[in-house]
Amino acid sequence: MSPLNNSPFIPEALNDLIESFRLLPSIGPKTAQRLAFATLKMPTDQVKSISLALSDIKNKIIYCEICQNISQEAKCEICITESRDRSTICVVEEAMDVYVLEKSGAYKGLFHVLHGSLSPANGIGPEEIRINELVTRIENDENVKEIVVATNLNLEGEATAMYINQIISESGTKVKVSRLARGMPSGSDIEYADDTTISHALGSRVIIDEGL
Amino acid sequence: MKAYKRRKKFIQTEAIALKVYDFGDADRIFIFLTPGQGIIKIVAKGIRKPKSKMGGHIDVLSKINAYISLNDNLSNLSQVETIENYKTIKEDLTLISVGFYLLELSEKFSVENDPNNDIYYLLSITLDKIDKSVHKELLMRWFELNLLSLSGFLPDLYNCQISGETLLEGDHLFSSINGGLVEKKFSTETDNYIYVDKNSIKAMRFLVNNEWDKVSTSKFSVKNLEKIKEVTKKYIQTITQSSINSEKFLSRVN
Repeated sequence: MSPLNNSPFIPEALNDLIESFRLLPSIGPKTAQRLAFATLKMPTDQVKSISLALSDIKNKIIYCEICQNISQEAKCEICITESRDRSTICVVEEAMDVYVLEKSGAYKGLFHVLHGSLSPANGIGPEEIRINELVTRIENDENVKEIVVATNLNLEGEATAMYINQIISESGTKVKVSRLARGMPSGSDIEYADDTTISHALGSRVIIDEGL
Repeated sequence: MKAYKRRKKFIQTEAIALKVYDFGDADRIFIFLTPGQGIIKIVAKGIRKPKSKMGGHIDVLSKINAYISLNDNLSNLSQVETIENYKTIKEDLTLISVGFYLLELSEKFSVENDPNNDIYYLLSITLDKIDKSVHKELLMRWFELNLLSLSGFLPDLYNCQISGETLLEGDHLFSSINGGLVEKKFSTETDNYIYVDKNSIKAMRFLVNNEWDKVSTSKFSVKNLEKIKEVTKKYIQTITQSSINSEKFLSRVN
């Protein structure tokens, strides 16, 4: 802990702000102090604007009743956009992943945000993430033809993808379930690739010329 | 006085990744079980980035060769090579759930920075044996009882925990609080006991005293395995004073 924290020479209000910044991820004691002193030097209207933005995030942000993405309305922008492909739902772990996929411009379908992945050892089972909402959504929407599972490519993400596949097939709905391809990242050298990546890349190789 | 800069200490060790947490912007904290250092917690910097050279080599349920730079607070993973990726397990949800269960139990019974080769090798052997044809329930019961044995918590299956007398062949009671079997006549003196028939007692003794290769070729009735499961579950809960989180998921997908 930095010597400044909880020092009697630091006014209580400033100390409270330092401690509040420390609650954020990746913020250590030193960074918290820098942010607190920077806030102190800011013009009052800027500080008020930050304060308002912070309270608004809890008061105004809700979950979309369809896709569980964060939204300011009952239905999010993506769900109400008529031009989107309504036959495909891309399932992601976090709301942040929606913005990453949207930024790529390669996907025009709908989303479903799970808000986590299965992590049995940490007590996170299917009830703790929004899998039941996904199944209900598929059962009630006959437009849906494909589920693209875009959970992270680690063991927990894979377990989540397999569980989604299992529960959708058990529900009896005739929906195709696909998974994001795995392989070499753009700009990388084969020399440094690991066995798992190489084997996945070979398995999902793309034909350039049929040679016919 | 010239400042003294302490030289970093590097170790190279085999390890099985038990747990992982996201940390900072692109880092992850891994909990490893190692043969020489028991449980160690390390940070793998930048591993969440797609271009990380370590990312594909390491995940939960992987046996790796790790090069670790030891620090006072949090050690750093500087290099990693896969020894065994357990692909068979990772391609089947039921086997993954068994894997999660074994990892959680190993973590509960291992201590940080305390060498315990035997638990590492028990976990390693058990993971090596898992495939689609393995008798999962039998393997889990064998693992549980041997884990209890190696960590010094094996329940006494031969002597009455109240009278101290050697138990005669027959049905007895299992008392988690007393740490083993007790004679039936003490049913009023021990709380929450489990009634255990003589065949289940024999099966438990056999599982503790034999290697997997011998156990896997022997016959066990479903009823006996269910009884052993009831005993080990209750006993592990009593020792760890908590329930095993992954057990719920295990029973859900099986």
